[in-house]
Amino acid sequence: MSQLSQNTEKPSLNPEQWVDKYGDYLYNFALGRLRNSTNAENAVQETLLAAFQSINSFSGKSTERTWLIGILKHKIIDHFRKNYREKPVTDITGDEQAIDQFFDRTTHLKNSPKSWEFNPSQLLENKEFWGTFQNCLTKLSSNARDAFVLREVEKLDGKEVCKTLNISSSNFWVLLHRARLQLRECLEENWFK
Amino acid sequence: MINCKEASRLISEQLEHPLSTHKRILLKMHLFLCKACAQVAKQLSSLNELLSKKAKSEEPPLTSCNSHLSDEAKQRMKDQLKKNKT
Ligand SMILES: [Zn+2]
Repeated sequence: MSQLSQNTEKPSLNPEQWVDKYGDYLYNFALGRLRNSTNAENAVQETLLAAFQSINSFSGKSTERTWLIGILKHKIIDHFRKNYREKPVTDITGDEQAIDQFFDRTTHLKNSPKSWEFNPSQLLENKEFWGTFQNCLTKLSSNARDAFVLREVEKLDGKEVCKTLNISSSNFWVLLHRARLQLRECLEENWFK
Repeated sequence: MINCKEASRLISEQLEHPLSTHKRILLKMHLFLCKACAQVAKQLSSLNELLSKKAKSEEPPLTSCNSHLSDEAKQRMKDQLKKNKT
């Protein structure tokens, strides 16, 4: 992906070229969030069509790729909204039980946490670390994962996440709590060991 | 005194919004006495910070699937775009 140029020229008026130039990048971005290849493909297609229709809104201030990603993010949120409206979260007992699993009978954490020593700017650039992070996310329940991704990766406001996922704020907090405990443990086992 | 499970719930809640005075004091007391939870609090806030920085960077997270659109999918998209052009 790194060969994509960071040029700030106006988008090529030949949008079919976008498919070859950015298609795979957009697809991976969508797949990392939606986890379903059909949904990811649809999101990319909708993005390219929307981009084409609003080509005049491209100011040239950002790169073409960044502009497309901005549109794709909205399409991804639309997909979540639609999916969770059709299949609302009815029961989060599984996530509550998952939280309990991290504690022993005296309610102490089963695995005592270590001190994470790392250089933030190095870790930001470390592809291997972000691969581990992505792997750890796949081990969550899909509800907890989606809540975490929208809140902590996409940095949506909590209220907006609740609306998008069609869940109450108390359920949202349970999902986040579960996601954080599980990610913490997974990252510690697989990275900060 | 709250237990570790309660404490971890408050640690997570604290990342969402400021805690009420009562909850904040309960958590502070717990973290003062419990090394494990204090460590968890540190880890989760540094993960939080890391993700905030990553969100603003050129390379967003969750893009390392290394998957490819199928040729058919690409063709379909090109056809769609062409159709919309006219
Ligand atoms: Zn504790």
